Amino acid sequence: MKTASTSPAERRYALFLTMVHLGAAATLLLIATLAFDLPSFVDGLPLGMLLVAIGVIMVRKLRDDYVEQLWKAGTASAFVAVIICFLVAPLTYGVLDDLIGSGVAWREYGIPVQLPAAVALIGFYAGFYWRLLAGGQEA
Amino acid sequence: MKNRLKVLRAERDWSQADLAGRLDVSRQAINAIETGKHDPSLGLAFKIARLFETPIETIFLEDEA
Repeated sequence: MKTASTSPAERRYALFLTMVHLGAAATLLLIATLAFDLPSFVDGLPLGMLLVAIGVIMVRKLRDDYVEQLWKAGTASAFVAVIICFLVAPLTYGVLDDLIGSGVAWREYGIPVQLPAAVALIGFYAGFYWRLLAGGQEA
Repeated sequence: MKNRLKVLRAERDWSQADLAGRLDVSRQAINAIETGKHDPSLGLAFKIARLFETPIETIFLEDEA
């Protein structure tokens, strides 16, 4: 039988990971609210969950040496995701549009205001979980 | 980077959780270090060396090129 972990470091790790899972679930819900026409009360739910989850994982005292590495993997991945989506993609589109000439500017697509946050969050969780699972730890 | 953490721990008959508790890190951190999935920070490496009363370079070994 698995015994309950009691050391403060174990509790901090468990809390941090729980908040990461909560944040990941909230991000999926946020994407669902962007993609589908869900009832208005659902719109605020992922934002509330994200506020709690991100607020907790920002607390540096919760991160030990290993968790810090997971955090760095997540933030690096989020940075790359934002650069690709909001710098490389529009630039590539602009170059291609110049060649093909669709006549529709990138900004005319009306990118939702929540999209940059969603991309950064997806990037963070992708990097975090990739590092966690590559390290062979239970998620 | 290779390390002798598992050997040193086994010599003292400590579990990963025991060692984690002494170093104030999670058991997952010890597991990741032992399996070579995570290189500890300099601060943690010094802490490990102090705990085992042995120089850092005898615990953490550079990979041969």
